[in-house]
Amino acid sequence: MILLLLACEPTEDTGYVPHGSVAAGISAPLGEIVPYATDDEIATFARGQTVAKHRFTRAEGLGPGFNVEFCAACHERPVTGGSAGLYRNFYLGAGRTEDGAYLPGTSAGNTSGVVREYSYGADDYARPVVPDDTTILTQRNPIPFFGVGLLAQLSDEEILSRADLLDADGDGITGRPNYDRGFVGRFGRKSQTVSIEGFIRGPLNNHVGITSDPLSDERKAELPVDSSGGSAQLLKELAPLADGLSGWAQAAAPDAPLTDSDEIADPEMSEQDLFDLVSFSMLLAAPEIEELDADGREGQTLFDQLNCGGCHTPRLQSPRGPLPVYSDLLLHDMGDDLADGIEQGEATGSEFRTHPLWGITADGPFLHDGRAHTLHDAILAHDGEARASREAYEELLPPKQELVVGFLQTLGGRDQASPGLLVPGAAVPAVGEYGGPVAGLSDAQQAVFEAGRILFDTDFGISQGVGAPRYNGDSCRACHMDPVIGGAGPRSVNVMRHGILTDDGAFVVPAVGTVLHKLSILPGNPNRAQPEANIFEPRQTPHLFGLGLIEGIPVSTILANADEADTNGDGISGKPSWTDGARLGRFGWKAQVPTVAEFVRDAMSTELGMTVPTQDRLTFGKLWDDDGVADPEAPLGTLTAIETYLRFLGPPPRQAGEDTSLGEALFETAGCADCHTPSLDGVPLYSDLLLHELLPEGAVGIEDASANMREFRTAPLWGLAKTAPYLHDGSVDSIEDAILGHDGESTASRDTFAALSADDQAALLAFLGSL
Amino acid sequence: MILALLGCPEPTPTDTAELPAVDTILHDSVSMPIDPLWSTDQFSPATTCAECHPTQYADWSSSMHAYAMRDMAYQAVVSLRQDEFAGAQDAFCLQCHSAIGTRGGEIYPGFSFDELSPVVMEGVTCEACHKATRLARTYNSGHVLDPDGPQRACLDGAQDDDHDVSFTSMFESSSFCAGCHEVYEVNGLPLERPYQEWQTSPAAAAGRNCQTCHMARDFDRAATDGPLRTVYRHTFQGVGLPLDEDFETPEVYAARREAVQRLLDDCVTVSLDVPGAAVPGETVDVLVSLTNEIDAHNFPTGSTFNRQAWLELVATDARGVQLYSTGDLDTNGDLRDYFSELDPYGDADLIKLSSTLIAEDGSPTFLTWHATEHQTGALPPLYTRTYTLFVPTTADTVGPLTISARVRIRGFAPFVLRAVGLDDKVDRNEIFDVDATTISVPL
Repeated sequence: MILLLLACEPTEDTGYVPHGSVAAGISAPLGEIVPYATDDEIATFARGQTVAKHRFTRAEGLGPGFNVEFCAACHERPVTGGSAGLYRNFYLGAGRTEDGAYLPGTSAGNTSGVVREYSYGADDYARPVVPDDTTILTQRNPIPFFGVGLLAQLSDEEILSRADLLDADGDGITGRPNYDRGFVGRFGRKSQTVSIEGFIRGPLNNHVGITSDPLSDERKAELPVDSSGGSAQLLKELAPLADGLSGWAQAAAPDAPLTDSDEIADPEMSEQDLFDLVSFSMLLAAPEIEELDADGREGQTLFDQLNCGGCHTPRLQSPRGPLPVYSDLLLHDMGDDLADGIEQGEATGSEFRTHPLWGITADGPFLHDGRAHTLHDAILAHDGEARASREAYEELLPPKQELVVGFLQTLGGRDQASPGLLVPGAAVPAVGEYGGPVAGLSDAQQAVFEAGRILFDTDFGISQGVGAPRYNGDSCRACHMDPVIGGAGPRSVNVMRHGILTDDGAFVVPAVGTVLHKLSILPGNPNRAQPEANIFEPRQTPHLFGLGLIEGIPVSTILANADEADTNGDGISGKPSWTDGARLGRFGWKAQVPTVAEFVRDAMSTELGMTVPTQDRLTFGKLWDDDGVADPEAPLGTLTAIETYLRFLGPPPRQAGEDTSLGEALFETAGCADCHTPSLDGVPLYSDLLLHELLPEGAVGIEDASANMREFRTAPLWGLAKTAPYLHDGSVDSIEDAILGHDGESTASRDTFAALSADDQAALLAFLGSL
Repeated sequence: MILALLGCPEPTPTDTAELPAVDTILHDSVSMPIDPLWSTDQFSPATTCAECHPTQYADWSSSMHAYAMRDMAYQAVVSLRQDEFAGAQDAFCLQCHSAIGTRGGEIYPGFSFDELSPVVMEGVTCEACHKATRLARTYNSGHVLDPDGPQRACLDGAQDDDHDVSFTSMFESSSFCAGCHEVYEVNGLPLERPYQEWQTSPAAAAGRNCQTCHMARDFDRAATDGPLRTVYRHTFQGVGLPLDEDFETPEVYAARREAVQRLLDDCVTVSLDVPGAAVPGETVDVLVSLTNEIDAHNFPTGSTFNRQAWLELVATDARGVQLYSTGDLDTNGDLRDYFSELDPYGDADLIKLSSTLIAEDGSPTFLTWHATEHQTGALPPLYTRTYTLFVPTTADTVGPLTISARVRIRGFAPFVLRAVGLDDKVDRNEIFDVDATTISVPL
C-alpha cells in the first residue's frame, strides 16, 4: 500500500488513488471485436458471430437433450457474447456416493451435471427426469464472454501471485487457484476451465446437444490466442513445465470427440464453425472502462476503503499490458447462503471465482444464479470471505452506497445497459414491419405503444416477484422474441404442460397446475413433476402480432363457422371454446383465453410467477403467491401498458416476392382453408379460431377449458414465415413437416397435400412461406 | 443447553442424550426464547378471571381459543413434528397455541403435553392477550407479553380495584389478531394469511376489522360489579368445532354448531347456468359460478390446508340415473383426489376452494414443514369465479336432467384424522353446506 501511494500522484480528492493505466487497444463497446484484430480475424469474428446466433434444428443435431438451440440464447445481454436474464438460468446437479464421493449429475446423457430441460429423444421424451441420486442442485445464470481472449493470455504466475492460501496477510481473505489439466483455471463460476475451446465445446454439447471434435493442432495454432503446444498427450506430460505459456494452456482443451444418441452423425458442428466460434469468443473486446468524474473517484475511493479490491483486483498484468478485470480469478469462500454444493476441480461447494466486474452493469441479473436484480442487492448477498467488506458497505449511508454502485457502473457497458434487451434509443419498428404497430395510431397512442413495448421487454427480478416459486421467464420478451419482440419463441422457451392420466382415461390436473415450470426461485428445485404425472406436452410460444385485431372479430363471425356435430358431413367439426363465464376463447393453443387483458394476466402469473391485482370482470391470473414479495407484484399500470401494447401490435406483414396465386388456390382445393379460414371479418389470420381434433385416435395430451386432449385451436397461419418451429409442441422445423404432422380431422387435407406433385407442393409451401 | 434448562420450571427429560444441540433449536427472542422470559406461574389461569368476568369466561371456555392446546388433531401433528426434528422445532406451533408456554420455558425440546401447567393447557387464555404490551410483528406470535404489567383492554375509562388496567387501542385492530392468525412456516412459506386478505378488502376500506364479526358487540357488564355498557363477546366465532366430546357439554356444542352454520350460510353462493335444452348423446356444458359474499377475507381463510371446502355437483336424468358427479366422497369419507386411499384421482374435475400444500418433489402433502409451495383455490372477497363442467348424456338419457350443486366445508380431511390415529373422530368431523342450488335441463 505504501509503495502504491508513493507511485501515484494523489489527486484533488482526499484518499483517491487511481487504479492505474489500462493496456491500450484492448477495449471496445460490448460485443465488438478487439481493436488489434487483423483483417482475417475480423472476417472470422463475423462468421463466428453468425455461428453463435445460429439456431440449430433437429436435422442439424439439436438434442436429443437440450436447454437451448443456440449459443446467443444464453449469451445475449446486452449483445451476443454477454449474459442473459433469469429465463436462461439452468440447473446444475450432482450427487454423492454412499462413501461420500462427489459425482456430477447426468441428464439424458452425460452432461457434466447440466440438467436438460427438453428432450426429443426416444427414451426421454419432453422433460428428462432428474435422477433420484441427484441430491445437490443449484442454478447458474449465464456468464459473459467479453475479454475472455485477454484473460486467456494471462500467465499462470499472474493469477497465482495473489493466492493467499493461509491468509498470510490476515485480512480474512484467502484466494485459492483452481486447476484444469495442470494449468491455472480462469473461466467459469468456479474458475474450473482454462481453455476457451473447452469452455465452448462443453456447453455446446450440454446445453444444445451439438457434438464436436476437438480442433486439430493445426487449427489450434491458427486461433487468435495462440493455442499451439503439441499433442494433448505431450501437453499432459509437459504441463508442469508449461507455466506461463498461454499457448500451451489454451491447447489444454478436452481432447475427446463428443457423441450423442440422436440420428445425426457426430460431430454435428464442423471444425470450421467451431474454429470460428472459438475465434469469435477470443476476439471479443474487453469492456471499456470510463474516465472517472468526481463521483466516480469518490465511489472508487469507497470501493478501495471497503477492500472490495481484496478479491476484485483492479488490474491484472497481461502480455498486452494491465487489464481492468476487477477480479483475481481465484476462488473464495462466499459463505453458506451463496454456497451451492457444486465441486469443480479444487473448488468446494461454497467457493466461487471472483466475478470480473468489467462490464458488470450491462450483464445482470447478478451472482452465480442471478438472484440479485441490482448491484446493491448483489453486494448485500456477499458473505464468507467478503463479509467484512459487505458489512462495511451496509454501514455506509445510502448516498455513499450509491457512489459505490455508481463506480461499478463506470467499468464498461453503461451505455448498452437496458432493463431488457432493447438497446437504449433503438428504433421502433414502423407500421407494416414485424413488431410495428397497427396503422393509424395517434401520437399519444404511439407513445403508449412504445412505452408498453419497453415494459414487454423488461426483465423483472426475483425481488420484484418473479417466481412463486416457479416460473418460466422473467419478461414477456423472454418467450416472445422471434423474429422480433412480440413474436413467437424458439424451442428453448417452450412451456411444458403436464397432467395425470388415470387408469380410466380421465385427465387430472397435477397439484402445481398443468404448467410444469422451467425454473424456480428455490436454489435447488428442478421442478420435478409429481410422480403420478404421466403426460408431458411441450407448448411452442405463438406470436402475438395482430392480437388486437383477433380480439375485435365479432363472436358471431367465429360462431358462423362452428359445426360441432359436423352437420355438413365434411369430416371437419369446429367447436367454439367456451371459457369461464361462457365467454368465447380466442387465444392460446386450446383457445383457452378470451381476451388480450386476460392473456396478459395469465402470462404474468403463470409464466413470470408475478401476482396481479383484481380487475373488474376479468378472471385469469394469480392474486397471491408464496414468494414473500407483497402482492400484487405486477402493478395495474404494468398490466394495462402491456395489454395496450399488444392491442396496438400490428399484424405480421405478408412477404413480398413471387406470385403465390397457384399455391393459394391449392390451399383452398386441398381443404386447408376449411379450418385455416383465410379471413375473419377482414382479418387475414388464416384460422377459424375454433377447436378441432388434430391428434390421432387414442392420443393423449392436456385438457384445457373446452378442449379435450386431442383438440387444438386452428393455429393462425399469418406470420408463418418467421415463426418456426411449428406445431403445438414445436417439434418440427419446416412448414412441410408441419403439414405432414396434421392428423385427426385434417387427415384428408394432409393426404391431399402428400399426393400433390412436387411442383404443386412447392407452390403451396411458397404460398404459406409468404404469409 | 444447560443454561436453557436451568430456567425451566418443569423437570428435565430423563434422556438428555436425545436432545438436539442448542444451536439447532428453533428460537427467536419474541415468542420462542431459548431462555425463558419469565415463569408461567406468573400468569393467572382463566378460572381466576372467571370470578369477576363470568360472561367472558363462559364465552371463551367453549371457544376454539380455549381448545387451542386441547385439540387432539393439533397435538398429534405436533407429535409428528416432534419426531421429525427430535424436538428442535417443538416451539413452532406452540408459540401461538400457548404463547405463555413457549415464552415461559415449558416448551423445551421433547416436552410432553401431559406435563404442562394448567395455564399453558388453557391455550389462548385470557392473559395471552390481556397481558400483551405490544406487537413485535403481525405474524407468527408477535405478541410481547409482560406478566407484571396491567391487564390491557380497549374499554375506555375502565377501572378496577383488583388489578391494574390499561387502555390500548391495539385490541381494536386486525393486526392484533394477525399476530397469531398470520402464519409462515419456518422456510417462509405462507400458511395462513387472513390479515393480508383483509388489508386489501372492501371491509378494511369500510373500517371493519376482525373484531367486527368475530367478537360481536353486546350490551352487558365487563365485570360483575361493573356498569352495563357495550362490551365484546369472547366467543371468537369461526367455523371450527372441537373434535373432543369432553371439551364441552352437548348443549353447548349444539349451540356452537348452530352458530357455525349461521356464519357459513350463504357466505358463498353457487349458481348454475345451462343451455336452454340439451340433446341426448351430447355433452351439456354446465357453468358453475361461485361467489364469495364475504367482503373481508377469502373463502375459505385461515388454515385452509387443514379445512376442506369444495364444490359438489351431481347430474341425474329423469329416471334417477346418475350421469355425472364431482365432489362426492369415497366410502372413507374422503374426496377422491390424490389423498383418497380408495379412489385416488377418481374425481378428475374436483373443484377445491381450500388449499393444497406441495412438497419439493411436486407431490401434495398435509405436513406444513414438508411443503415448499401452497396452492389455493380460495375465492377473494366478493369475487365470482365460474367453472365449466361437462355433463355427458347418452341416447338413452331421459329428460329433464336435474343438476344439483352445493358448496361444502369441513374442519379436516378424514384421511388426516386417520393418519394421526383419530379414526374415531371421523364421524364427528361434520360437513357443513354453505349454499346449494338445483336446476333442471329439458332434453
